[in-house]
Amino acid sequence: MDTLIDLGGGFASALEPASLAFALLGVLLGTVVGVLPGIGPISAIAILIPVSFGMEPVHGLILLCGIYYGSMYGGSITATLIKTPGEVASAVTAIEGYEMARRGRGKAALATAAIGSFLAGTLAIIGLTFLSPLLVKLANVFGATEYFLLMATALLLASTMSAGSRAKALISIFIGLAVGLIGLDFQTGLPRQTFGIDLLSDGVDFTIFAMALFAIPEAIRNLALGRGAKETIQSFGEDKWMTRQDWQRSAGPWARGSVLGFIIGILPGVGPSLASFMSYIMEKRISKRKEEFGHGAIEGVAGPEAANNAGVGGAMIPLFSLGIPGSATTALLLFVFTMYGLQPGPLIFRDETGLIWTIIASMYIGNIALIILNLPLVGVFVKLLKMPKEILFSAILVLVVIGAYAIEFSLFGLMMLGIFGITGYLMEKGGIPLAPAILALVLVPLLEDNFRRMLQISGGSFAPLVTRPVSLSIIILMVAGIVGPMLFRWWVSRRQLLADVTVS
Amino acid sequence: MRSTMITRTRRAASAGAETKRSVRTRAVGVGAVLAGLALVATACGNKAQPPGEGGDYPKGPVTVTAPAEPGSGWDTTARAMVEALQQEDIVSTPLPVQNKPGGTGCSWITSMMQQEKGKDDQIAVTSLASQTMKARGLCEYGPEDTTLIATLYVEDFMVVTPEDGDFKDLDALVKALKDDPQKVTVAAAGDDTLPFALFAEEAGIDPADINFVNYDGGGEQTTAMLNGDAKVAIAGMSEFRSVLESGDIKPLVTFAEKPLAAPFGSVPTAKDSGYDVTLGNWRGVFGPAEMPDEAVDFWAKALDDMSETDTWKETLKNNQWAEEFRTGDDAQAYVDEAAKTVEEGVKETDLGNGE
Amino acid sequence: MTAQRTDLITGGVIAVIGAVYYIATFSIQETANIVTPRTFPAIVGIALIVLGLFLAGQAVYRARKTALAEAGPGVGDAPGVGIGDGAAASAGEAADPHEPRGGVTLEAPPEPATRKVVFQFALFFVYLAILIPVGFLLSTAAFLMGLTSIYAPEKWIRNLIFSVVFAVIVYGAFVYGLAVYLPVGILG
Repeated sequence: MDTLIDLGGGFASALEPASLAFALLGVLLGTVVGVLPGIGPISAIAILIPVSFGMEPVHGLILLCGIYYGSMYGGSITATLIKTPGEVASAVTAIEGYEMARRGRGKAALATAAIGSFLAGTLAIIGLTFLSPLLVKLANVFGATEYFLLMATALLLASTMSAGSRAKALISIFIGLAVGLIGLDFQTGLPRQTFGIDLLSDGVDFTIFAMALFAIPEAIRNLALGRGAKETIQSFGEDKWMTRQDWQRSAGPWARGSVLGFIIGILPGVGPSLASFMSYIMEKRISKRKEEFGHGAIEGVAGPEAANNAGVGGAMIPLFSLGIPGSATTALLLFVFTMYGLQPGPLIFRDETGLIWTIIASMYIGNIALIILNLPLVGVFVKLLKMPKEILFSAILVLVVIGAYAIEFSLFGLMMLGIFGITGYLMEKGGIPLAPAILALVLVPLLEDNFRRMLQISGGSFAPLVTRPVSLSIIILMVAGIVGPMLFRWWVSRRQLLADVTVS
Repeated sequence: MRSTMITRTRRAASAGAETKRSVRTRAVGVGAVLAGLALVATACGNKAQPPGEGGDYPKGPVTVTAPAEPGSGWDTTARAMVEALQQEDIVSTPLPVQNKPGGTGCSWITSMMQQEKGKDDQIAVTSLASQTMKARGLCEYGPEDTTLIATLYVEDFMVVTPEDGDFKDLDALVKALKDDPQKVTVAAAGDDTLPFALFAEEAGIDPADINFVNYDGGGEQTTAMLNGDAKVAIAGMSEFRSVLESGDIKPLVTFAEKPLAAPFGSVPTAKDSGYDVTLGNWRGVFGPAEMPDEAVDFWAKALDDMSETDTWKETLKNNQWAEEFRTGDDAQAYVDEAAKTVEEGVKETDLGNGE
Repeated sequence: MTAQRTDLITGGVIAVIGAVYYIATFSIQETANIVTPRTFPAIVGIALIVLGLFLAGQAVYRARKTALAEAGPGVGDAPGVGIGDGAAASAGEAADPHEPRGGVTLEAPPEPATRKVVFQFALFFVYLAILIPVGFLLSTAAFLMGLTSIYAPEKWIRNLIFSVVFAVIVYGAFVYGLAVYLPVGILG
């Protein structure tokens, strides 16, 4: 019960008018900045860090937490409305969210994202408050072997993300891996697959890749269609708020996404982005309306958005209890802590009780501020889609270009954007889904590094895959859950095919 | 660049691998944002003031570059330094910090040697890592080739092991290494392997036999030790600060020159234990090639003033950085010496390309 | 173009890309590690070749089967024929029905003429190329004016206002609001 008392104390200081004002200000700033392409949570925090140094530590940290939550949600807005994900975690939202918006359901998509984020964020903080000491042990059973298996499973699952041919989904994954391997090798620092271009040694930026693949083909296609063609956005009249059915369909994904995101978020290094992809895949697999995925299934927005925010809460656990940042943004938060002379780690709860609980309390408040600010604004954002098509899509192209420029500041970066734009267009044309490639690009370093570590540790033996209890369980689950059904389906279709052939 | 090997310069703020990539991703964004600021700053600065003219340097903003992501060691150094310079009113012109990750700092050092040549509105942070890059033949230039302005501090390397792990002390570690080096997995970030390899060689073990496993900084290394993947880890000591304090892991040896400050005063140095290896990860500041003398002098003086301030001393203490302030020839000699150690080390321990 | 033909071309292109990628791995410096820096890229290259060939082979196989089925009397439409050129419709793979039961169904977006797509991409690349030398404001206003005027030439006043105002607002927001400096180019 000490926890509750401490938390109460935290709330007492976080609820001071000044703290509240900073939470709201942070959320507002974060949302505005997060909406701009190329500027995600990290950039938002980094830009505003100097501002926070002048403040009391409590206020500065509350402000930054608010910015974090706000910018995460801001990224979802652009992903949903204009298929322009500003960061890894919202890439999934660009799939179903945009399809919903095209069908005049942008409001429902943004609402389910906001509510899901709020619920999951809050649940994750509750988890953080009460379960930290217990959950931190989870990180200790996950070694290189388990990480490798987890990544491999995620990629295998990703091949089921999209409708259509499995072979094409695999091609998409390998395209993502191929692009992701460009640059300096992490383990040895040697350049790889740069084709003699030095500028490629920094690798391909994720945001540029995702924007190019998702936003550019869509904009170009719509612009090229000209006026004669059917409107592809907002063709179904008045945008409606979430219906009763939407609520019912969102509830499950919110809950599952929260739990999944929280657990994945705890694993250092994996972070919220994998959580949102995994949630999408899971929702699709268990859904009774599989065929709606890819055509605007609300579950595909609700689950990933919840998972993403819960992942953020999960990532705070290793940060607070071990001083290990679980995601890029928490790494930056760690830097901020250090600048204030705080050292997150097991001792921070003892030495800095007041401050740490104020931060946790301010996270609750930041979450509430997020939903208070953003739900009323959903309608405003959706109005953007009412703009004439040529204006909307040409504006999107310009914003994407600025985003790419703000990342690389070079002609080379802009050209990469253009070239991957063409790549995306051709992939769609050939029926190759885009999302698996994006996930693969994110996961390839984790997959490769951990594979190499595993073999380095075992001296070249694959034995750890089956001798370690956790890894063995993952393998069993993988075989039972993925490979088994795959083989079964293959066998069934084979039989049918043979039957067909016999008939004809 | 990925965060490849910048790791050695990064402090506790290291992140996991996904993080790695997204840090990179976002970091570049931030870098870019700040770089934008810098671009304009640069442009204005140059117009307002041709290098080497006029007496009241600096007239415009001076960009401070951390050639790595936000949160990395170089970044922390740059930001902490700017913070101290401005809080104590030592420099009044704006000092935008920009992040320019790439090739473990190689991209930016090369720019400073070529594109920025002769300019006076740019300074950047560097360290031992850039010397290793050069020694390994991965970068044309090292810090010793630039206009070195000052060295600021040293972060000492430390070998750590889990509190309840296999090794009670340094002797136990050496014995295990001699018995079967393959079994003693050493978690190291990038080329933090160098001091450990030198140490192995001193102890009569072929550095090529050491089973180094690459991790992305202290956070990952700690996790790897706690989950049993790694038996020991080597890194700059600030990487392990919180877990050392909480007692989850314990120090075995440090490669510092003299015994460490409290509370680590009792940690044996390699030298005192009979292994002649002294290597610290120094951090310093450099300017563009052929930077005007006026600017070099200004910064040497400004940094000297800064090193005396309470703000800076507090920062050193918070981060457990050991002061190693040198300017001019003194700094150059120090860095040259380090370059020699690294070069020999790389040669002797075959770190060149992992073969 | 039939789905099979698309698949055949796609598969071929992917296999070629895989081959180029695989050849590029030979320039990666080998190390003594158990898994070298070359291992993963090589696997990826080979996988792309195999998958590309598989896709192409499958297309040929299906086309043959379709031809057989069409030749044979009394058999209904073979899968993969007549689905049209839907954008991402990987026709013939038929894992998902094209008509979802619930929710709103959209027709597959019509495909624009290749000529127009090429033209749009060309315009886009011109914009990318001139952005830095000419500067953000001028190139963006020109790009927007161009795109909107191709689309709705009679609304040129609206187009002009939009192009200029949008470019200026975005420029202001990034430069003054966020200190992200966009290229000034010839105006600078």
